[in-house]
Amino acid sequence: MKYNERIQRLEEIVRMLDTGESELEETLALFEEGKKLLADCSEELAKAEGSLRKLTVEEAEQSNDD
Amino acid sequence: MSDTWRVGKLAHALRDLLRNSQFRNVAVKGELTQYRVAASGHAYFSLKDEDGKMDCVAWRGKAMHFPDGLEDGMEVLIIASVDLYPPQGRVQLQVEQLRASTNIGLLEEMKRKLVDKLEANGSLDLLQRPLPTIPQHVVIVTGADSAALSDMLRIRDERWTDIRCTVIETVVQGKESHSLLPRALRAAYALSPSVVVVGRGGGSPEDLWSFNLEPIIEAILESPVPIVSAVGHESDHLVSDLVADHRAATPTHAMEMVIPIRGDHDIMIDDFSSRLEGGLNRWLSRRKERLHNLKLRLASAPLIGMGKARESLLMLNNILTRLTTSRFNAERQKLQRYSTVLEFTNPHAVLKRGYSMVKGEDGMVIRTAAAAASQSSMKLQFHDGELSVAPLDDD
Repeated sequence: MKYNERIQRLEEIVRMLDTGESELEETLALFEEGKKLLADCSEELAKAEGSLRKLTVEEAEQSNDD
Repeated sequence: MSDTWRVGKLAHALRDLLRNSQFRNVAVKGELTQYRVAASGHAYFSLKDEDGKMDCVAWRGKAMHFPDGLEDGMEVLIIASVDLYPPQGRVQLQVEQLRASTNIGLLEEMKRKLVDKLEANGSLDLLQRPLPTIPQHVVIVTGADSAALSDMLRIRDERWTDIRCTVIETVVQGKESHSLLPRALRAAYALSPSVVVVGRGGGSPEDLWSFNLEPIIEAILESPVPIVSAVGHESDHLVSDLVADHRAATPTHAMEMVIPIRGDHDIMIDDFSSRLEGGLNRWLSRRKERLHNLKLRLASAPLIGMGKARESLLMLNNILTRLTTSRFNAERQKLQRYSTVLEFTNPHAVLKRGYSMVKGEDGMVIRTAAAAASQSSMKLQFHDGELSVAPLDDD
């Protein structure tokens, strides 16, 4: 699931929790799903972190660390 | 014949004369002929018109700033000084600057042809790929040590200091860029980027011209990921802008498009987190309120309410057994208290203490002696069962 889709789903979940229509089982499932989505978002943010590298064209051509 | 010049001396004297003359840094216009760049990097050519012709030389340091695409036959304008080269006795123009007076027109024509070609082969109809919300690897291709690069890195710093970023420093103008820019782009694609930004700061149309050239355009079209063209200023429109997935008005703007603000996302995640907790807590509060209302109804209509009370007690028990995780312990204790309260108000508990309840033939509770008098038979409800009774005749 992409970051934006996760955010959309989170909006949905929060809305559903707020209406309070769902039964206990479903409510807990929504809550857990929301927690999982937030953890995934945080993980994606963490994964985007790294260093700043400056390469010449030659260095870039030889670089295959990715 | 008092003064006889030695030829070399005359040549030097003439050179001195020229060097002190008005023919310093003059603008000269003419048609370019025999243009060539030597291995040394110096450029040699002649300027001519219908009335005359002069040899010109531009040393490497000057020639490297000449515009691209110079060809014989072009009308050019130079800034030059007249000089004489004594060993050959040749008068020549030493060139400081060269501008093709019809260059822009020619380049525009080339650009138009390229755009026509791209239009014909469908390159301009390609679907724009959206930029990733959280790019896992940003690769920037731009001029080495350029002002544009420092601007871009400043924006990265402001928005998300630690976002993973690779800069490929290359040459972005002049002949060298025609091969180096495509190479830099292809090297960028091999680094598994999630987005590529290619660009440079502002300059003259000639400076930016590489971004209108086919080898560069082809390389941009090859990008496996969304690519942003960020060349020059807002007012500059280049072919690279047409074929890239996104056009940024400036390199700075490109970075604003590509790099998310880390703080915003942290706030959003915290916000969702508290809304989730709040949502669950409110759900629990509503259930407790409902139970509370049941309790009140139970007190006023014990028998009708009894079935419902049982039901809700059962449900409460279900909830309690299911709320086993430590996260809900506090809620669980609160619910347990409600459960105890309900147990206390349960009519069965009252019956156990030795009371009994009188019900009419219709099963309704009889609360008064007057109501009982009208009944032909009644039932006494004990905690362990019922007993049918009839009122004695008073008369």
